[in-house]
Amino acid sequence: MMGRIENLISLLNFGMAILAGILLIFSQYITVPEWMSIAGRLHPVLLHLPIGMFGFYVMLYVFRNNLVKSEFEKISGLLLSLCSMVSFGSAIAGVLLSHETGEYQLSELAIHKNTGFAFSFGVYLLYLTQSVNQVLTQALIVINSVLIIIAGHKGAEITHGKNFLFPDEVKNEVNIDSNSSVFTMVVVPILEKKCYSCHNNEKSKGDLILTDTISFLKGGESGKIIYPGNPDSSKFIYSLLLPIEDESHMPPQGKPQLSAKEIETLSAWVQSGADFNKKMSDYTESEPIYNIAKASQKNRLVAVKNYTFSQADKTVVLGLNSPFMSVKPVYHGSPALEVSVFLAAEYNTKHLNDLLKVKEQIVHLNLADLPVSDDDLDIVAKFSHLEKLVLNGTKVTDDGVLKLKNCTFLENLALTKTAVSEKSEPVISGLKKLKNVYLNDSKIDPNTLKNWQTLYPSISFYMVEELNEKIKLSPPLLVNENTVIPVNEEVSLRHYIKDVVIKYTLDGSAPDSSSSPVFDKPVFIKGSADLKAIAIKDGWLNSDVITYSLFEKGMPPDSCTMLSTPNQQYLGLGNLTFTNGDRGPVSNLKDQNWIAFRDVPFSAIFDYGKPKLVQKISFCYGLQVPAYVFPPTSVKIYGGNDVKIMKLISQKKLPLFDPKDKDQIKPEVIHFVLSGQPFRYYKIEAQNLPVIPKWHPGKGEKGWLFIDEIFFYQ
Amino acid sequence: MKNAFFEHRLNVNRRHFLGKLSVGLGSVALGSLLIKDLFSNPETLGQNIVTGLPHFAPKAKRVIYLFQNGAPSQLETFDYKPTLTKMFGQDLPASVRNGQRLTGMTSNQDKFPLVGSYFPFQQYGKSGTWISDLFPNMAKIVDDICIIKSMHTEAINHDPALTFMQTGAQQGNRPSMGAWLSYGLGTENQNLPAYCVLLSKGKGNGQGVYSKLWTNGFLDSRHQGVQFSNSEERVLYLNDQNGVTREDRRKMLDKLNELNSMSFDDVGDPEIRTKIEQYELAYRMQTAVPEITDITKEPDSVIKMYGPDCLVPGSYASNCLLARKLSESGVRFVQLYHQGWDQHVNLVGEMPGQAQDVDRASAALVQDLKQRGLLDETLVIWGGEFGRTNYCQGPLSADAYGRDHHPRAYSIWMAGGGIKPGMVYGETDEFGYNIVENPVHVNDFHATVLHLLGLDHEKLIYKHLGRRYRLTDVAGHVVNDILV
Repeated sequence: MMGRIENLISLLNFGMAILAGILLIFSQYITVPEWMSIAGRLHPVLLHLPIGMFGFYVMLYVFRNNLVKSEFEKISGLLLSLCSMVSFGSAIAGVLLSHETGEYQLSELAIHKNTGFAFSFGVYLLYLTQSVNQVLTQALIVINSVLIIIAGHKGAEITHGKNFLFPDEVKNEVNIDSNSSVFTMVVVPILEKKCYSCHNNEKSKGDLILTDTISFLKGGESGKIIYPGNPDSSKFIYSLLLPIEDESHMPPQGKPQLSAKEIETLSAWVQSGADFNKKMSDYTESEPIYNIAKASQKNRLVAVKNYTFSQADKTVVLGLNSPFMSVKPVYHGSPALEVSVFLAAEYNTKHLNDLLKVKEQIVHLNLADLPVSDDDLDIVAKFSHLEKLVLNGTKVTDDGVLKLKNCTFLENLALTKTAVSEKSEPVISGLKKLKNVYLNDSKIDPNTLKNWQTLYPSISFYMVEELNEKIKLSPPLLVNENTVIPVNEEVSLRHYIKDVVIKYTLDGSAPDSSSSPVFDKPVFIKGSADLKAIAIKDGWLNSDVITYSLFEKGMPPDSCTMLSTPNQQYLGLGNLTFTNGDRGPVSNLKDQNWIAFRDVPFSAIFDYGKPKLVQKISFCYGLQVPAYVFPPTSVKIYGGNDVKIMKLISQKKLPLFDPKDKDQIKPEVIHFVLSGQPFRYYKIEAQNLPVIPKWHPGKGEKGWLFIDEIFFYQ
Repeated sequence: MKNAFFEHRLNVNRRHFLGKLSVGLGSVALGSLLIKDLFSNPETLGQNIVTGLPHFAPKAKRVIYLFQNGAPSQLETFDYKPTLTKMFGQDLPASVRNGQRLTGMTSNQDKFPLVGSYFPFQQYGKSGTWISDLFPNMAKIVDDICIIKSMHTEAINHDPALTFMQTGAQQGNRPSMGAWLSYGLGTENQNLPAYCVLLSKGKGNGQGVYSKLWTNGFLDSRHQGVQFSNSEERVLYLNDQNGVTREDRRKMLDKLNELNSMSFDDVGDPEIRTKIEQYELAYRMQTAVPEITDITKEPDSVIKMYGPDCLVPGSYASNCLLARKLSESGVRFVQLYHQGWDQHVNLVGEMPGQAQDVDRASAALVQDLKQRGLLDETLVIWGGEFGRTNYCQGPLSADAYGRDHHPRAYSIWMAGGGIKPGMVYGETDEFGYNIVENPVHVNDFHATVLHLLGLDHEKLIYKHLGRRYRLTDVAGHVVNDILV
């Protein structure tokens, strides 16, 4: 069977060899009928087969000694005959393909075609002579290997382009700056990406070459592709806009398409005259291409400055960097250096002297808040290419600033918070490149600055507007960490702004700036008190009154047992919540110092272990009416020495909640003064609002009761 | 175990290996902070980029990000929508909502009644920009800032949205923007971390901030944000204990470094080197931090500018003032978070307080940087993680309403550092719900910030777990229109 097939193929091969020979010799004279050109297009498929088969054969040949000889001969015979067949097939198809109009430059094809044919005949020869002579076989293998490599490589160059295998060594980025033509700036990059691969000197689909301007203008097989000023009738543009299924749509279906922005760019360029040489400055700002070019420039390397000086020595620059100083190129590869000096405590003129090694290259120098003196500016003045100098908060005066008159490149000079005065004017007027000068908080009065602003319109003198309105002080702050004050701890207030006077009251009245006492020493709190305070300072408005509700820690019972179950969402710290000495922040009811009751009223027993005289109980709860958190409607206190026998010793009923306080969010307290008898147990009950009144969005529902602390005093 | 160590050493990459060769006691920390590839040709490097320097001429050198955590409503700040006031109480047309998903908080609401801003708007500046009466001081600097009204994000809940704004991904395992900048630009002042974090809290409904927001992710841990404390001692445990002299400290560190270096030679974990570096940084911070964090020496004019709270540690105003000082001292990225902007209910009650917390100090920071000649090299960003709905969450009345989360459109502003001043970019529809002009996605925002700092967002790459990562991952376009 195998032999029969091999014979058949062999016969076919003989026929194909003759056909290939004829084609090779007479290829210029033949015309390919339409139906045959389809066969030609099989070339890209067929060509891979001989490569694989021949490769496999070479491997088989190398390891032939590991195989049974007869088997090797059978397999290699069949393989070579097949390989020969597809080689011929591929070569013939290739010739047909090359005849398709205009697709390929025939001269470029010659090597590919000739080596391809040579390979086909070579394999056929190898097949015919495989058992004749080892030396001949080996020679043919080597020759054929070389041929297929050349043919394959040349073929790949035709389809994938010359740079496919070895891209041009780092393509020299065309240096694009404002002197480049708009064509190279914005049009070429698009053509490079999306058009050149098919329309170049080697492969000019549709006879169109875009890589040089002459061929570009000449156009392709259908004539001119560009009508300057008229993108709609230019094929260069409208072929991009045709539906993708259209045969004339470019780039063809399957190739990377142009983005809307790219089409807009090309179209704008044609609209503006399709000029190859005009620079950005030659266009008017109203032309779309101008703005596109401008945006692209921004996208590239933001305004590249060309410096005349050379790069400083790398090791010198590295050596200058230390914890006291940062010396870095403005960006990677730039010769210009920016320098900042740090740490006022460690500042030394030596740092500036070190910088003389790179005096040409420094363009930015920041010396803010260092004790830099006028003498130091002798060194700074030697930094000849300085563009920005920051001297805010330094000790420099006019004498120093006047030394800068030769820093002709200086554009920005920051002298805020220095003793510089009007005498520095010669420098301001002398430095022609100055753009910004910062003189706030200096000895120069605002009127002079306004005057300078009109005298030197090219410079901007930024002034912070004098604040005419008085600003309100913030209220005094409590120094103690907690509003629950341990026994014998003193209570202090403070204010961070210097020379602020704090006035206060402890009796619940609002403090005022005249009669209330000055808070100049700590105070002590008995029981509980509202400490109210304001801050006062000349030139400021008095602060709002702040109220700190302070509680002495008292003598909390030994233990607590809740008799009702708190709401599962707000369990707080359980039994510990009431007497742990921490208040809950009213702004955050989720805080663990809050415990809440809604479905059942609050009830708990507090145990001292033995009878104890309690004279005052303060019951603290939170109020956040918008969140349905209301005061209790009543609170009852029971006392007794047996849990089962407790008597009511005090109770308070609260009035109905006033709707006008509906936005209230604040902590509240109810005090109970008890008369005289000691008890071991104290039971406290508090009823949450059973029905929210109808003025509230939650009307009809139950109100919440949030408790954070209960204080017990002797 | 030994085998595992061996395998780990095989993972040490070329750079770590070369870096390791240069390890010498004491010089370790300093050496590695310097830029290793200062002038070398990028083509000769494996990654084609150089870390530690901008790729091209930068506009901004540093960033101060005033993050308004909880998402301030765009409709009560910068996006003026009189139509909403006219259509008070009417249902949001389904064609406008267009299938937008809802949070669990309003998904069971059967009506979406529109509500306009309770607070009036006025026009300010040369550009006639609309700003709400809640921000009188920001209104004064309107000609210095660029308001972007067309930000949009993909997340609808705080944590993913916040994480997205900070790290470019909703899941919290990527490096934060500040960490990327530290990685890309290196540190400027060797006495301070390149990335600092300051926290403050308003009285409004708050949302959490977590240290994962200033994480280094898979980058070296020295790029992690350093959180400053809100106490008077701004960096905790920085001072030596009583009785320990500077020399004692130095000796102790030298010995410790020696031990750490030994363990590095043994194990080869690059994190050990980071640890050595961090000890050295802390040693240098002992000198630098007290000097920089001392804001009490600021003149009265500056204190008035930032407002009466600016000396109270932990207030937003003091954080703004401190941010200026840190930034001025070379900190690449100062990240502020101000909590309390999550007004689901009681927006009318809470927003004035929140606005008062931040209005004066935010404006003062811009002015202060400007008067010191630093605004042109410092990028200031103000904004939250998403917007709020144009309809009311919960019960609606003329002076009481709330707004739910809205990812489709929100407003932020940027100033300085190469941003076009006095500009409003992007536009939303008359409902303030959808963007109709110039949308800016979070990825675009990141690309733009990196661009301003001289970094190509497509080239700032770190390879991790076999994949190359960027802050913008696979998206992002620089918003050229807002650049100077």
